[in-house]
Amino acid sequence: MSIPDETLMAYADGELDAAQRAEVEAAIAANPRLAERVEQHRALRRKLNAAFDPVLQDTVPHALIAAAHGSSSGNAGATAKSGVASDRGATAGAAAERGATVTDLRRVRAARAAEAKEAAAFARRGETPRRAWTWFEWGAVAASVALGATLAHLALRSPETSRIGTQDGHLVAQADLAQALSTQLAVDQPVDAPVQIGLSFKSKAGDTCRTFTVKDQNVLGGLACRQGSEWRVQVLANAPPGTSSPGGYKPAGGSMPTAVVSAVEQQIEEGPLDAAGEAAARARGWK
Amino acid sequence: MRPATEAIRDQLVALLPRLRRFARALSRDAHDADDLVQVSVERALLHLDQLRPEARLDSWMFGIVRNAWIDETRSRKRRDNLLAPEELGEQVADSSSEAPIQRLSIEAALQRLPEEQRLVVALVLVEGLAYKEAAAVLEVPIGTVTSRLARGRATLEALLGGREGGV
Repeated sequence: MSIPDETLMAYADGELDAAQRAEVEAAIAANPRLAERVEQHRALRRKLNAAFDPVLQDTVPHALIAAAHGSSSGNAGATAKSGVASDRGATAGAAAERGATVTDLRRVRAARAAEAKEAAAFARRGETPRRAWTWFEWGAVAASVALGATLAHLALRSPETSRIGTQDGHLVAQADLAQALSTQLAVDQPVDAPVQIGLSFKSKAGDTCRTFTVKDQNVLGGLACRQGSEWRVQVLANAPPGTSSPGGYKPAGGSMPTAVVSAVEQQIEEGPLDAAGEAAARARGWK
Repeated sequence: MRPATEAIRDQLVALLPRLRRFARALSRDAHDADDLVQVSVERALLHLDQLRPEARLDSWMFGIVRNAWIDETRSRKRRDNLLAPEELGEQVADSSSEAPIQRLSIEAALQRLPEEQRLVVALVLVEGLAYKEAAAVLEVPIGTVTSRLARGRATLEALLGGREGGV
């Protein structure tokens, strides 16, 4: 009996009624290749879950929560109105009031671009930007989440072994993390090195940045950028545990947290450095 | 407004992580995805009166995100005729360490799907909606959901390196 692939797919998705299920199961019993195909359909779903479910664990940006409450949307375009709307007791008429606010992506994006530009200017002057909707802020949020959950046990250990410390309000890599960031090349690092370097790239702000994973009690993933003589840690987050993936797949170095991947996507100027580019950057002292 | 509004806002906040996940499956960029969620939430609050009492808030919101995303991709296509953006995700995927490759390549593969297939894949496989629920969000017959899903899956499997089975 031939079973269309769409039916196998629907079976894998739990979409068939009892009679159809019985029919498919009979066919599968007669033909193991069909069982294989069902498993492939399920495997694809698992892959997508593994890729996107970590988003659920991310910190939701303040701007979104504010938007859901009908208050400040975190951009200049709506500021005047949101002052009124932010009083939750006064939500009566708030939506009507917001009716005058043009709601489209271009507005949100333009406001963000302006802020990002400003933030970049701040960064060049060595100051700390404060606005929402920039990767600086975003990174700080991610870092502060990590601070509660995981950074604490890294940072609060004895100073000699602490891999991350603070300097002038920035998180900076120390000890073997700083050492690895400065010396280790992704191509020839030992697989059992406590710090694994991921990719290296030039950021839009002109810095050299590198992703890393650190194996501690948990696997942490992070992004650090070279500023002067130190590695400033932009993002640090728990790597998704490989063991929880339904297929039992466990990535060698732990997979990179979504927060880190997003930060890379935001900051990367062109592409990642290749092996030669990485070695050359090291030779230049990561300038 | 109505007292119910307050409750809906709270439900919206609770729904944000799923809306972000859905948007992330649609949009190539994390910031774009959050922008999409923000715009959708703002639109939803403007049109709360259109939320039927028997409707599920999550389905309704997915529909709004979908509409906002389609509006955005239409206008983006017009802009992209002038400015071709780089395929950033693919570049990152090329030389990052092993695990991110897998994640990014799925994202990159999703980006290659036609809009309508990507929507179905995002609703059914990422968000876990039943075919019937996805059909309601997309306002198409259930058979259309099934065929789009089958084609989307086949394309993804081809892009992800064939039917190699489990990871």
